[in-house]
Amino acid sequence: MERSISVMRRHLLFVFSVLLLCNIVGVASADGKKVVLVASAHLKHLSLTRVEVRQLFLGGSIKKNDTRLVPVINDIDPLLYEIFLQKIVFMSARTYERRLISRILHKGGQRIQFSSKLVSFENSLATEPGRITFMWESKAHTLPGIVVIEELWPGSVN
Amino acid sequence: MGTVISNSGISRQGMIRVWLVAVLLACSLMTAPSSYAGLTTEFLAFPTVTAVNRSQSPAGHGVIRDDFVPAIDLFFMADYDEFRVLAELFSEANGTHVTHLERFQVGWLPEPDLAVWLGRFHNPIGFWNTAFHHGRYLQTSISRPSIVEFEPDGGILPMHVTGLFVEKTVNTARSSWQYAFSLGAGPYFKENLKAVDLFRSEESSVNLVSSLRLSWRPAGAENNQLGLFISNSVIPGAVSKFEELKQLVRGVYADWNFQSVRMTSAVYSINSDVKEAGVRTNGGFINSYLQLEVPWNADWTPYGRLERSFGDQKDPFLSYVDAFIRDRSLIGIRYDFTHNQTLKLELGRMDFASSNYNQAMIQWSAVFP
Repeated sequence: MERSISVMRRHLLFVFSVLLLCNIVGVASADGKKVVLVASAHLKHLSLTRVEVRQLFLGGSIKKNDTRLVPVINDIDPLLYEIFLQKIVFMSARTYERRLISRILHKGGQRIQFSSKLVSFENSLATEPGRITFMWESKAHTLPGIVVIEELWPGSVN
Repeated sequence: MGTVISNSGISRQGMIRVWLVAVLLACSLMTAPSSYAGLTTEFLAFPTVTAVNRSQSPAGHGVIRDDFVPAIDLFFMADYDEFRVLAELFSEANGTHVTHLERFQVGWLPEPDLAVWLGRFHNPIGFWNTAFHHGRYLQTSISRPSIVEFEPDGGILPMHVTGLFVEKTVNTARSSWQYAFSLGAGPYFKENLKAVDLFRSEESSVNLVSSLRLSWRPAGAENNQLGLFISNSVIPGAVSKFEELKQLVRGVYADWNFQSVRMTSAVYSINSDVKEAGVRTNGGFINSYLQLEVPWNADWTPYGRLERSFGDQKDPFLSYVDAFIRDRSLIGIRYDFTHNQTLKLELGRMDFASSNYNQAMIQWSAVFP
């Protein structure tokens, strides 16, 4: 009887260790990586409040310095998209996507584009006026012709 | 050649027409350029197929016991500079009404938070009517609450209005206020409410509907909202002794997401002044609904809804609309099996003025592209 309890304990300890390890690995993949809002260089003086960022990515129309902002949802990296959903728009993917369609059905307007469906996402960011998206800060610094507008998520899981 | 009605009540011609309209429009619009010389367009198609089983089929409700209803809602939008056109064409093959241009709005949007529309639109009378329109994929449940049911389906309020519609949003640091005002021609009454049809002139008498709605959303939680509304209608009758209905509707609503529960609720206070054979009769009632949705995960969402009417025996207009559901209790589940397709199952009990039945429905719905 005692032997079987001991075996069970060992199994539980193993399972717990594996889960802990998975969790640490999962956290490490996002920890320390900041999410930033980026746009083409001509929008370097752009300033948006957090409410405006949310409105923009919920389908709202925002014009700054005579430029209509055109948001692009960066869904190429699933972790980045998940952070956007949880920390910026506070919705699940299904709710968010239904919400975008619902808005178009009511008021019209263009559907927000997903980066995975754009042929040259990074190039269009630099060249097309008003394009705005979010990405890892480390990635943003490697792309020519774009500027970081602001930090959206500090990269901490806390 | 007469319309062929199959045993299940589906008009075969109607069904063919639904899919023909769908295919033609889908082909023409999906292949069209989405942006050309400043003109941008958007197209959405919401197909649904619904199977219904009722414990009985009460006379006068326009429904049969077992039904199979394919339908499609096609939405088209075009933008040019500050101007926008919206069109929503709904086609349903249930043997009673087939294809309607449900919305056709021409809008002027001088700034992002202001829209001035002219045309046929959904009356901003509460939350549901302008949140989901005819796009059944977007609503969690299969059915709409009876108080916001469309006119041909037993609705008692003007859901479609033709005239002027103004929407204004005012954003502050802490919240967002939205105003909606509409003024235009509403329905007339003949067996049921009949909204103005842009392409068929059946009724020429003036039937003015005015509505005002104010809603509030907290900043940072834009998927939550509270609102209040008021609507005043004059509805002429086109039946022998029913001459006119003056209807005043006031109400409040909430669409709120708690930690793991979404609550959608509204309370309507309706006052009806009916003129029958030269004599006016006044009365009113309260109707409310409460829908709760508790998502298990991203794919499965169980839900339930209660609808209740209070004092409905005192309303002189309700006796003319047999198909209006006075009380209903339902439970259902929604399964999103892909990012744009869903299956829903709904079981409910409905009470009418003098009858009741149980109903089971299963529906596939989707949005394309």
